[in-house]
Amino acid sequence: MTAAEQNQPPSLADASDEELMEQIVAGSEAAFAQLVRRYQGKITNLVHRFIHDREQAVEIAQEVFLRVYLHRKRYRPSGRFSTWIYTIAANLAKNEIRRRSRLRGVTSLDKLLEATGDSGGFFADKRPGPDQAAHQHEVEEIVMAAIHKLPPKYRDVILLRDVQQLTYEEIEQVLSIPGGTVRSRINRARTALKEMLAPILRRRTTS
Amino acid sequence: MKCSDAKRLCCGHLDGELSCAEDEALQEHLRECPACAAQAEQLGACVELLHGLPDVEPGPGFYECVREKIRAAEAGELQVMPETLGGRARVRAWLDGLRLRPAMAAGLWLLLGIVLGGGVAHLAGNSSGEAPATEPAPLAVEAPGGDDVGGDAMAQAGVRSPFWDLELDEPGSRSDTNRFESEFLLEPYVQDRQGGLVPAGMDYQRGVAGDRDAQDDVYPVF
Ligand SMILES: [Zn+2]
Repeated sequence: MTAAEQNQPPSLADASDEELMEQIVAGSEAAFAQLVRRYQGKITNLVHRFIHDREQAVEIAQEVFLRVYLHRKRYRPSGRFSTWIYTIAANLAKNEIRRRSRLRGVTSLDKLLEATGDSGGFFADKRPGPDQAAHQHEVEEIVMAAIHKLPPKYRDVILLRDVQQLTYEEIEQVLSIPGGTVRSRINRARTALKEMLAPILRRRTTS
Repeated sequence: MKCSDAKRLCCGHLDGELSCAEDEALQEHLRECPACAAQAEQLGACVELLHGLPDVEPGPGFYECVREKIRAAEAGELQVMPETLGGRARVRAWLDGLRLRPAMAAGLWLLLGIVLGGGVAHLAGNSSGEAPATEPAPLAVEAPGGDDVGGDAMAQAGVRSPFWDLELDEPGSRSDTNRFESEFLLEPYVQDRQGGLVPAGMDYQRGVAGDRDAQDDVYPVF
């Protein structure tokens, strides 16, 4: 718990998201501050995984909270707050992807290829890696590039499930798709990723 | 248990979704089937890899920035545009807006179906498993370069895409996967349909079938 949270009256820190939203609608700025603190990391992460650009992710995450605040009266307590805000965040992020591909016609794969020179070289395991952190970073780049090579519907479920670790039920609501579809997409997306990442995984499972 | 059933259950196992009986049957199969056991191990490692991706920190001053945006928006200095609907969603919204009587609406949809269906049939007739070299996919709205456009048309035209074919139990999925994998791993660049060089995977990304809704609708937020 951060120092700021300890300074909150206990009622706010202990309040559920839905209770906070009620107080926000009633005009409590402290409740809004609490809600932002509670979700800023998750939302920034989610957006970052979608658009793969940290600075822009922070910007969009702030816009998510802006929209939550401006449209606070539209929130219906019958639904969970978390799925409401994740839906706003995922949709804003996906619109950003769309805007970018319109503007530049590029995908995040370009970034990877720029960053690592060529993917074949990376996978050729010629980096015994004195610089573990740099290696970790490159693994992350490869994994994200692989995720972004999935068709959007598979990319979305894998980001929400395996990166953000939302429940199946939350994913159903965020993406507005039935549970059976969520399951089958996760299954296919993982299988596809496993194939794409096989060289990395083989090393991990044999070492 | 068949290997295909084991593959299906592996995913549920990772998410703790299986019943005790299913889990037991799966474990029994994995003990007897080295191929499935290896696949299961790699699937587990893959999910572990994804779970282990480091978090990004929103940074200090996040809340203050949000407050400032709110102040600016309320003062009218910052326009928060509602994301508009595009493509089919706009047509749908327009139809909804007309509040058509059911019979009229059915007729209109039927007409739309005939028009679209005719277009697809026409395309399917032209295509024999290969992408038409020059014809743009007729339902693609922002091609080229969109990360999720054109898929419907490609799928309906019978154009094969490695992902679309990546059915777990379908014969032939291995070869597609291998083709995809080898291109990704060994050839950073491949020739696209116009004959230019693009990073491997790019062409697939354009050609894969995405969500119907994702094709031409802006995702609604407010
Ligand atoms: Zn087996």
